[in-house]
Amino acid sequence: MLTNEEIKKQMALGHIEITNLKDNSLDKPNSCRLNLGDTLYYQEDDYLVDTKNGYTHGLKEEKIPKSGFLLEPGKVYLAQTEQKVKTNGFVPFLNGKVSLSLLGISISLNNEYKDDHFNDYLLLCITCTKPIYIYPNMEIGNLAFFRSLDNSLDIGMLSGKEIMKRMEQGDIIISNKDNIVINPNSVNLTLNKRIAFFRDNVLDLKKNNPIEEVEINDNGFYLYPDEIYMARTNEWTETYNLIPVLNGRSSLGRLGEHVHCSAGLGSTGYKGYWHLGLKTTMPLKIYPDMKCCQICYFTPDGLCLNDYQGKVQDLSSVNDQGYYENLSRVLKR
Amino acid sequence: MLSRNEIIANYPHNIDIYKVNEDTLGENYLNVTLANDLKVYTEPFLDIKKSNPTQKILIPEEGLVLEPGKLYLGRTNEYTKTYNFVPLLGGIDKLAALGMEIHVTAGFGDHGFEGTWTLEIVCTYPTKVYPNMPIGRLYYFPLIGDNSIEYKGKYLGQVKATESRIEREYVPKLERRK
Repeated sequence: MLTNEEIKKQMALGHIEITNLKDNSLDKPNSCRLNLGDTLYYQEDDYLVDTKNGYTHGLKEEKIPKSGFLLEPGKVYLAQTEQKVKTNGFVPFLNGKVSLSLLGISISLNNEYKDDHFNDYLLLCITCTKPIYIYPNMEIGNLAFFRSLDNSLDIGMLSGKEIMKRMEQGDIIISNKDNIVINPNSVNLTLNKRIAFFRDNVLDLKKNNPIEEVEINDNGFYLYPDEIYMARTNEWTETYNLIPVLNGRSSLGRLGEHVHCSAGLGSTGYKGYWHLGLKTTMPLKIYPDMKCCQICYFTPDGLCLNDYQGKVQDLSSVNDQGYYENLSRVLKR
Repeated sequence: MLSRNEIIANYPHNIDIYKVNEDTLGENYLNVTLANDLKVYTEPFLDIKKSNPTQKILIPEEGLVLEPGKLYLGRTNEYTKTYNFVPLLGGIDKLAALGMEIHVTAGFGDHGFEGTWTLEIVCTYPTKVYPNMPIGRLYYFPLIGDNSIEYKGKYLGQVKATESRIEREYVPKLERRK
């Protein structure tokens, strides 16, 4: 995956073009910030859609007003990014934001990976778990890039054995490392016993959305489909000279459980617990300390600076009781 | 990520897929299609420590309307084998725009995985689907480092849509002694 130094280099060479860049667009270590365009398109009612013919009843077009627009669950809202992207030799990868994922907002439905020779705005397919107010011109996601490889095979994803080697070298730090499970190309992390959810029925990106915390135990805890749950891993992780990506587990996916809302991409230099936005399709009983997700690692393509300065990292200074309170305050725009 | 030429160069010894047709090879991915067998969980509440029973549904040629917000387990027609590369199942814009999700996890597979790909389908609206329709794309990333840990997990060799087998991780000690 390209580091932002390499993205800038490829932009200078003309192999990657991104319009409407803001001052801070390229300040993240391995992705470019994306903003939401001003118009949403959506089907007004629960009409049948046909995978052969598309929408059967047309779409409503609406500009997002400054006063805010209410997203409702059970709908998908189509939009474009402000930024238009052109690539030659690179595959764009669209990703959401952790701060939106934890509020239940997803910006894609598995359509994150684009084609090489891409030349378009990015299509956003926005869904939410709880009703939530969004606002115009907001930062909506991150764009990463993979080089389209013809024969250079030293850029890719770490194998399980290579992950173990990097843990010894200090590029990957995972607390409790002797108890974690190593897979062919990822590591499993486990679920911390404290989980939080939002008290209000309607959320708002510009407000502090009050939360309620629970401590789950071995009797289990039911997740329900119309809630978004904030959770975190037991394991504290630090990642240097590599790009970590959070994924769900197949066994939990087959039960309909999401561990994030389109926002698995991490950053090189990230230090902290992994924050999960748990979302389920059917009522599902979960237990503390279960293996809940996996982290895979991409090698950096280009100069790697390890200087992540994100909002949701390094929350170690907060004691356990106040963890989610602090996290939810960080989510406010 | 592997280019189209590099996918071809690694077929079939590292990247194998059956069946292929003239539409399989894409820009920098392989196209996969929806098989006609689906499964749904029959109990209203699921538990990761228990076996969660399922029921089969077939998609007829004329199509089937999937209910919004309901989880359907499906699978690809295509059976794949991947060694020394990491396969990734992605969705397509056309279905995403209609509110259809085909994979609840992020879609990364494992070096050493052999089988069809189980799909976790959730629709936003009542959605009519058809057997053999394009459903996703497989991308490939080089595997960096020692490749001796291969996939030997619960779903190796799966063919039909396969429900979660997570409860096998929680077998009580009494049963293990048998």
